[in-house]
Amino acid sequence: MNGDSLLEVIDLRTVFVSGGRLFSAVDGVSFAIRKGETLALVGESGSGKSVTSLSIMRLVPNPPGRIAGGGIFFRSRSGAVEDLARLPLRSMRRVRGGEIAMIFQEPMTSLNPLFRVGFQISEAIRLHRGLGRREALREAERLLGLVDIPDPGERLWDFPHQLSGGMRQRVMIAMALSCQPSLVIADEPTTALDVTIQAQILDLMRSLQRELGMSILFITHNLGVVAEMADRVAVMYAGRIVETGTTRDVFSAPRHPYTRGLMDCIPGLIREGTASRRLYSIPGGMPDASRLPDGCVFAPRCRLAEPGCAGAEPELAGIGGDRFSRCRRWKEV
Amino acid sequence: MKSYLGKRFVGMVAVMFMVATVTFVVIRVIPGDPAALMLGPEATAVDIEALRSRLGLDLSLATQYLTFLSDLLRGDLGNSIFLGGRPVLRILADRAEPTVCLTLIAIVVAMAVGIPSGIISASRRGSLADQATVSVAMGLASAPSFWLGLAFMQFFSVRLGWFPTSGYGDPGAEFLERMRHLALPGLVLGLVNSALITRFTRTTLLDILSDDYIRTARAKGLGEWPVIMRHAFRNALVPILTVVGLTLALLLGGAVVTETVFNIPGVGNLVVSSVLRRDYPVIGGSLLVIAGVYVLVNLAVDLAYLLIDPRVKY
Repeated sequence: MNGDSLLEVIDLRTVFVSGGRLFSAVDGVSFAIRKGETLALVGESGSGKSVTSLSIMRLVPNPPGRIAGGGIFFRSRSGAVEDLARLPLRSMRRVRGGEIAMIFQEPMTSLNPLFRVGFQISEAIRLHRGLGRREALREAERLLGLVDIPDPGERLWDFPHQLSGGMRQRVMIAMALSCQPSLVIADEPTTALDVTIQAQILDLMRSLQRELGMSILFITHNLGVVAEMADRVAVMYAGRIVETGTTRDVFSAPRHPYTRGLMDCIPGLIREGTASRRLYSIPGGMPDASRLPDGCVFAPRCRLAEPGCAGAEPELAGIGGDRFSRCRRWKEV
Repeated sequence: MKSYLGKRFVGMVAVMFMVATVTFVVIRVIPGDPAALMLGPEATAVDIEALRSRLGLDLSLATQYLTFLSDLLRGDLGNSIFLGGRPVLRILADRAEPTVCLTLIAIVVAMAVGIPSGIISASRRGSLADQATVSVAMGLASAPSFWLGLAFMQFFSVRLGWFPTSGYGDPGAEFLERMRHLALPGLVLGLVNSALITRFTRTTLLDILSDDYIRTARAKGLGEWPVIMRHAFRNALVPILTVVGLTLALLLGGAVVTETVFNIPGVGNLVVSSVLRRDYPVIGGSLLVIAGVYVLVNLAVDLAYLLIDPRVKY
């Protein structure tokens, strides 16, 4: 494993059984996250980005899913490198919450409705940091203050349904940070929130990252959020990574037609005097993971597809610098 | 909360009023003259007519209905045609102890068996333990209680001699002696009813285990046992409590078959013998009391939700 890497996912394959058939939701995904860095995993729904994040946490619901191959190498606090894909569940529980924490998409349903938020935050603190009930609650109060919740001492005793969506997501963030994890996986943390709250939550996450120095794996379908949050981007399509690079490079010059298409889907501001253009959409839909096309999986929807694309599937190949693309015609994108 | 209780009370009174009216109508519609029944086949037409006027049966239906309702309000459910003409309420009170105690034993057994096996089954879905639990629950749910009762009686009472075969002890028997008579029927009734609770606990838990907050609990690093017992089971309690409440209400109405098999002088037995004898006042009174118990148990269950789920507000 690379010296400055915190996490290296190598050739990850996660499979699901559905209707008696086996298919790969994640197929040969590799990426690395450095210490203190934010990597965004971008793609449409069904591209495998959430399954990738759940695989790292070993939270893929089993049955029907399981990790079928590859490695998830993580440098733990002690400095030892462990393959999370093969770690016994008991050791995995020490990693979960303690070293890798997760923030989920739905703050409305991700907190247990029957327990006060103070209890839910202090539960992880007591588990991983061995604090007593009262000390853990005091720590939970400090964390609620850290995520800018007013009157943290009072809010400890609230039930989730008494808080707004934005507040609940702050509670989730407080919970995720409670044991000083070195990696936070944020799975669409702002998708369920309205736009002004989204901006607040993103600001909060950025400033907390500056303060605490953790790495973030940011899962999203929203390229605007990527531009704001990520140092590097990995674009996923049909369970594969099709392009990676620094956020600046990928945004200024995408090197895969799918990335290009995603960027063309962002509505631009209509300026006075210019003709309004119809919003672009990539034709077709994500292929069924159990019936992938031969050759390049994106070819059926691709503007640049040529007969050769239906042959062998292109590798994720280095195209100079820190950039990789899975397209034969990347130069023409 | 106060206004909720007020509303519930009004609703309960309305339900009881409707039950009373239906009871009145049904009893009057059933063919057969209570006066003729009471006096037996040898009575003359004059005797019957005299009794009819004494019982008020010669009055108009409207007058009879009003009298019936005003008696009800005073807590008078009428007198039995048989059983020495004793007040129905007294007769029911005498039969209440065996039925209530039998119900309590049965519900404790049903919960003690049903809830843990449901939890084990859900937490090891697809395992041998799960399949075995589900099969046993299916077996118990489909075993007729008279058959299970007779089988248990044969084994535990006749062969092993651990329990009395039937009855409720001699008149004047000690409380513990009476309960010894209820142990076996309580076990049978509890096992039969545990099946539903097992299945329900299992299904509800499986449902909850795929909820988002369970994933959050696992993502914290909690072990499987705290996840299931603390985070999932608490959430499953509301639906489980509903089923337990319904079972409880049903059993309080008298477990007819079990009481008959074990010859227990409970409410179920009373209702059956009254129907066979056409003892209309007893049938009607039992209907009313059983309906009242249903309504009260339901209220108790709804109030118990308050203790479990902070989102419930009345």
